[in-house]
Amino acid sequence: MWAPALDISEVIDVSSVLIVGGGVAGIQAALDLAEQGIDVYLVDKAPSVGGKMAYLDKTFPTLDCASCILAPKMAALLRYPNIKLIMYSEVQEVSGRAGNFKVKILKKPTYVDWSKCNGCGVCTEKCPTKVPNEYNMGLSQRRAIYIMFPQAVPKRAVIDAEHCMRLNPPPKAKEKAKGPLCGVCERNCPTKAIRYDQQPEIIELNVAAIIIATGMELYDPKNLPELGYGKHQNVYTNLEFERLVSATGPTNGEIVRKSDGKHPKRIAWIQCVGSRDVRFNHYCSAYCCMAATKQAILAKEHLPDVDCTVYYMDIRAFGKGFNEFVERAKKEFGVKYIRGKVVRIDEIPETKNLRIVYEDTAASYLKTEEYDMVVLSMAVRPNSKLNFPVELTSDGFVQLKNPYLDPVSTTVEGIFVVGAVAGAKDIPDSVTEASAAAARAALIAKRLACPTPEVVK
Amino acid sequence: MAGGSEFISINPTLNREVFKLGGKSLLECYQCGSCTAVCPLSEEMDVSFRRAIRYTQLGVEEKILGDISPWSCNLHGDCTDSCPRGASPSEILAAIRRYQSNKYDWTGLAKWWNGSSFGAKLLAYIAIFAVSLLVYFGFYWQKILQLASTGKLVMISELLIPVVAVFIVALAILLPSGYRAYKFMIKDKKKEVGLGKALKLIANFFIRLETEAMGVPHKRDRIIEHVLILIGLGLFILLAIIYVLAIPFPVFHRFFEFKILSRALIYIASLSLLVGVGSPLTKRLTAGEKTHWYYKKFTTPTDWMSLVTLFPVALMTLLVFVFYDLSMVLYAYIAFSLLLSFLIPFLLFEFAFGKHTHWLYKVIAYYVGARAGYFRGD
Repeated sequence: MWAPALDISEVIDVSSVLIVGGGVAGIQAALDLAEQGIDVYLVDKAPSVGGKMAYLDKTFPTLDCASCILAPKMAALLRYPNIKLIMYSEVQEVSGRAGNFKVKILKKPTYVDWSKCNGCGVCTEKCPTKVPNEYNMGLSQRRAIYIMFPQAVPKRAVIDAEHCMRLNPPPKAKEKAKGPLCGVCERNCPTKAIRYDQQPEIIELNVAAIIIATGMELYDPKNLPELGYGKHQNVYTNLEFERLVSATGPTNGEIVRKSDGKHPKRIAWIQCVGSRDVRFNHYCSAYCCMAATKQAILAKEHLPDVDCTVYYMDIRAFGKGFNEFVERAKKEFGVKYIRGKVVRIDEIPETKNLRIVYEDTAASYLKTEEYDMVVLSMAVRPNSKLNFPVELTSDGFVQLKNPYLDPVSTTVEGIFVVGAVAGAKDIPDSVTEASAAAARAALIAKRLACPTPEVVK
Repeated sequence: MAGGSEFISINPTLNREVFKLGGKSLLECYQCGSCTAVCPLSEEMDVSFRRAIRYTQLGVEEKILGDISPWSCNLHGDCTDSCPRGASPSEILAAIRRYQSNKYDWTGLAKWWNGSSFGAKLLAYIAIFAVSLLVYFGFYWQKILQLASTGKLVMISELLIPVVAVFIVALAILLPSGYRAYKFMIKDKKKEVGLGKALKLIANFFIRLETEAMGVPHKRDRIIEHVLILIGLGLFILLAIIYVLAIPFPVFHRFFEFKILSRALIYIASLSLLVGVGSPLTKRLTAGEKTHWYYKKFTTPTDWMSLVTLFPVALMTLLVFVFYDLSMVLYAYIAFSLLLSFLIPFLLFEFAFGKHTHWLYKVIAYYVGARAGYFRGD
């Protein structure tokens, strides 16, 4: 496989690396590669890098502030001249072989000239259209022209074409008006950066190696209707609760209920929602036992009198410092842990409180408990619906070449995979894999090792 | 739980036995408790059948023998739908019930019956049926012709002797087993609730449970079928008692002089039984992916056996009176003899130590549970 070639430059034509996905794993790989002088292209479908870690308030098990440790890395991306950020884009096609992959990237139109935009934010204040803010998990609103979040890298505005009145006028208004509607952002932009006529662009790249770091998405809780997500107002997913407890979130860190804006007195976390279940996802989502513990501790820090309980099947506290973290939650913060799977959540109409039904397996009988707020620890699904020639496992994760001896390689030589898209994992493991994959990709990009010239597609 | 010096002995073959008795998904369970939480019976009773499944996995025989939680299950399958492991707790509980029945039965015949295949059971049934046919159409044929020539339907006669004998044998097998069941179940349980209150709790339990289940189509059908069987059998027993009492006390004969009433009751009884047995039988035969899928999902050889043996009894009962009312008296007696021939193996196998023993064990389990305070009441 890694046989020395007589003339290595015949096999490896280019010396750049493509990283698909700008979460913490993608960022780490980009920095590691750029530090060695390798040209890096970092592609992400969102307008900013950061991935899921940018949504978090604190990380487990140390309770470090997520933004405080991520933002320096995000900012560092801008300081390397050999890192090119291709934002708001998706990879369409991959062909070729290790040493010379041909990649086609679709750059979606932002309708803003990012070379002129300076991220001042005036347009976001003037825009009249309000839309649910995906960054705050729908708990607050943004405008049709928006900057993803204040610490975004790159900090540039994007127009959501579907909701913009100029780009997608509502039919009735279009009939009545004589010309194009609105245009407020264009009029107010100090650098004249708005471009309503911007078209999608196809970028073609030749790269020596590719690192897939596309991460994960939460499994849709509407697949479990008996838990009442979407019907009962005070049932949250764990990412929604994370935004609620963040100082940069929709309520500035106040934990309040959707139904009446009051502080909850009793919060319950339900574990294994959609995980470890033959009906939904067979696998364990790995991060959620620790995430729930962390959120329970944060809730106790925000509201000292709140009663926090975690309903689990097993507590998976497998990493370094994890078990101590759980014990700290129990002893120092008084978080309760009850072993029993919650099968149903009913709403009490008068108070909009929630009644959960479970079997307390320690006491061996059915119990119901009332809570003001319930947080579902959702399963995660990998973002693996890519147009890549790599093989996937039956669960949808990217298949590793060998889980023991080569855990960052895919079935295609020269394409590496890191982070949650290879298997549900937490931040430290994702960053470790990213550095590993960067080292492997660097060998190819620097012509230090020669992959066998097999062509894909 | 146990104190410092108390040991519990484990039966290492218990889980394999339950596995063979039909609990195929026994080892899948990872004890999450979804099944107990979702079961509507758990809301009424303080028993955890997840714990029973755990005891079975571990082989803790002394806890399983007296456990009443498997007997409250009526196999409607909410637990299977909500199991994250794809296991079937209701099937596992059915297998545990078979295991318990094997232990309660003092003869060892239950163990043979529950462990044998559908074919072997059918063969045994056909053998005894053949013997009964010989008895009625060989030995008793002259008696039948004599009775038919009277033009009246005489139910109490020598024809009943084989049935009564078999019934007495069946009771001799069943009742001591029931007593053993009671002894196992009452062990380590205190009688906290008085008898009257206990009966009221059981009644409330059923009423609430059945009313709730009536809202679910596949549960409603099965409740109605079961109720029809109970009505049919109950009415028959009532009529038989009145008929028998009429011999020493002729005043009871007055009941049969109300021809329309007595005839109506007989037809209601036999039709109820026929529909109550025939409906689940047809549904099991015609079950597909969409229609009556529920019947196909949970059916086992013991289910089939009990329906297949009861169906002819129901049919023959109806035919006896149909033939009699059509003045085909000999055919009525032939149908009656066939009825008794079907009844004998039913009593000998199903009633004495087969699936139909569940009525007795269930009643004992409910009684013990109610007296021990397991029912929540409200």
